[in-house]
Amino acid sequence: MEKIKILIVEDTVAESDKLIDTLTESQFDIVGVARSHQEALQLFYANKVDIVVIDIFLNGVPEGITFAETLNNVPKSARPFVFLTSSTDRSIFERAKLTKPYSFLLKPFNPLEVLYALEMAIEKFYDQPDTFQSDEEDTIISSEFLFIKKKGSLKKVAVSDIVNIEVEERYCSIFVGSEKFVIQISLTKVINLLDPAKFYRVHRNHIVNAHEIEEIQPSDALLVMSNKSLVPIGDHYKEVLNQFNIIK
Amino acid sequence: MCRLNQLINLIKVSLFGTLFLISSTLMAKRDESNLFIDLKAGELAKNDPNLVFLSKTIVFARNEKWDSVLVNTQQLLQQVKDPKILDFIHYYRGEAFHKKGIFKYALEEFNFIRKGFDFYTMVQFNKAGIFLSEEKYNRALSIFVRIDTTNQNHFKMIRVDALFHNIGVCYLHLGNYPEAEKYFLNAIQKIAGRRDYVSLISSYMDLANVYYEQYQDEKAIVYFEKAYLLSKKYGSVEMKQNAALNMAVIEENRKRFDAALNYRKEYENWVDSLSDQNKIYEVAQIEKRLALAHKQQRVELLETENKLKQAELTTYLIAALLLAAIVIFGTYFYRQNILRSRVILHQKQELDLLNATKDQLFSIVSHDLRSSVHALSASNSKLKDKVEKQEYSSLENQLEENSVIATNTYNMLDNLLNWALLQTEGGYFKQEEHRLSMLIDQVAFNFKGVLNQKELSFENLIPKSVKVFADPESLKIVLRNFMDNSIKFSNPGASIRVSPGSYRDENENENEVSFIWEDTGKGMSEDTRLKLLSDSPQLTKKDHEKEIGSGLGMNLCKAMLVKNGGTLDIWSRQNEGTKMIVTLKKAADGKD
Repeated sequence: MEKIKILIVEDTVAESDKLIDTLTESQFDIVGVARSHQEALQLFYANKVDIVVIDIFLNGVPEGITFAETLNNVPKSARPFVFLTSSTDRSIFERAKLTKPYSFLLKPFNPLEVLYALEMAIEKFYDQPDTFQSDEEDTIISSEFLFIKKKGSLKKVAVSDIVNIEVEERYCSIFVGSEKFVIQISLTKVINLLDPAKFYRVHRNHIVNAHEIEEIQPSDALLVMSNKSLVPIGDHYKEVLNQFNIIK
Repeated sequence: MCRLNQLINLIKVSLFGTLFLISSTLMAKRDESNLFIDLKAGELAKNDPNLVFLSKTIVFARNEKWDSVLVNTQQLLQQVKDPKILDFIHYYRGEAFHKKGIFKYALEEFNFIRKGFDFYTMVQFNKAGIFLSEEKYNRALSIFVRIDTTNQNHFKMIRVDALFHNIGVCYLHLGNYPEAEKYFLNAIQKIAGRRDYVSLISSYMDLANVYYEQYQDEKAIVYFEKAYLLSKKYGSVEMKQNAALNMAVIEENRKRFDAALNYRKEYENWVDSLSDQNKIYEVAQIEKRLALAHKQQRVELLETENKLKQAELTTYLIAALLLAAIVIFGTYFYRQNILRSRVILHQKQELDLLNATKDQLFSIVSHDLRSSVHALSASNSKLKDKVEKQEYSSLENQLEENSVIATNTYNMLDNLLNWALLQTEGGYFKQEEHRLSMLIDQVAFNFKGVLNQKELSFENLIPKSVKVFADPESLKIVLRNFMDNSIKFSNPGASIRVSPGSYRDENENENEVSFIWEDTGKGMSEDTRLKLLSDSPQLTKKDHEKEIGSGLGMNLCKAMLVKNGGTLDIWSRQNEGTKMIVTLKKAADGKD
């Protein structure tokens, strides 16, 4: 499980320091603090960033909005972002709204509010609303990562790293290498959102990453995964194996 | 030679007089001799009801209205076929033409009459008269002489004296003086019995002319004088004039110039009087013209007056219309004005209230702000003192106190800002579905320190699943104020609790969600509670004077909740605690 990488765009040192403190405490990874629009672009392209926190006013001008517009307009650079502002001025908000902001964070803020804003931004960006605050689920699935809420913080797991997933009632155990994470997510959502070309449902309770299958034992109806774990193949799911070019 | 000239002159004068005499004789004849024919014609008209015009004609003839006579007889000529009556009609027409001096037509009319007509003598007399007037003396004389003077019947119809006179005149003009003398003398003899002085004067004058023509001056003078003296008394102006002129000529011939001069003067007097008459007539004409002009002027004046009156009326009408228009417009604008001023008054009242609120707000805020900043400053000096004295053990408490004051002050300023934003409709406002529990936790997070310090317990019993449809920032302002108040008015050891609303379980709307913010603090009086809940933006005074606050917070809460489509209710009992009961929407209208 990895930390979520955050880029902060904030010109005021005191504010950024406070934000860094809060975010670090909440187990986020700060990839950098940009003091201007230019710097923000450099840092954004130099790092793999999951989410951006942008102060609307940089050096007295609403450059933060310009930066957000840039993120929106370049297709591959689209990321969730949070507007950070102390201004309650309506006109600025109206303009900021045009950039499809995913969340607002009003100064002063406390760690709960920061986390809430970040969660909201991710939820809205990946169009899976009302996930992190619910009792039922705590994970958002994107094409690259699973964003998981863990004890007052957010973590991520690269989808490609997932070996197999075991579903146990409301919970899913995700195996990444030798690690195992238990997340709350419905099986249908997992199936719908994971790339069907990579992940196959082989059992009522099991989903496997096809790339991580090491060995198929048809006699026992078992799959041996790259992390040496064994995954059973359900009777109803045997035809799945036909999709593989098995060398007999 | 000279005498001959005078004579010619005299003849002319006397001829004039003679002609005049004839016409006057004819005129006089109407009165007496025509009475007979009129009576006879009247009898005929009476017997025949169709002859209305004839009786009319007789009346007109008696009154000598000859034009009317001509018109009536014209009608009669078309109706009547009886030759007897036709004779009468022709006679009247002839007489009318004769009197009007149209001799040609008169003769024609008289020629229509048959010889057997009862009044044929009259016809002949008239015809002869016409010839005499036309100076055809031979023809006239031949007719006059044929009239039988022995038949007494004839003298009922014509005047014998006039007959003799006219015969005399004929002879006079034909130069047969002895015959003329004989007839004139006969005429004078006949006239003398009738006291017809006018005819007498003519006869005298004509007889005098007869003598004068024969150079029997002595005899002529006698008759001229007789005519003169008579004319003085009875004659018309022209007669007097002629008589005087004749006398003047005679006297002149007798070389009695003084007398001639006198007569000449008299003659001129008569001429003058005649011209005077003419003048009078002219003056009358002028007067008439003047009067006419005057009338015309009056008419014009009246017309002008009328025009003026019309113009005046039009002016009045226009003025009235204008006035009416002014009144209508005035009323309209007056009404508009009243409406406008009513709106303005309403707005003014609102504005006054808001202004009063603002003033109070500023006075309270400045007072509170001043005292809290002062407290902070005082606390800071204490802190400095303690640092200098190295009393580190109590530093923490002092710092905590500073922090509390700063937080309170900050909260107050924050409320002030939000209140201002609310008034100016500024600020960002976006309602979305949020989890109430999350928002409460976020707010409570900031108060952890204070809660611990005051030894207050806080419980959020709202299930995670409860969602509200609200603008998170404004809802958080409300919750922050609730928290602030609960902490402020609670003694150490008290508890604060947020729980799902059971307050209106029975009739709770499906699209509404309510929660209760409850504390076991000092509570408030009913009075304060009602004031807090009243719609008036008037701020309330606190029961607890010592505490920092302005009542602005509660006002703000209420406004924010209303803006979110929610409501606020307060339950409170002094020294028992307060419950803030909030109702909010679950989802946007028409959804969920």
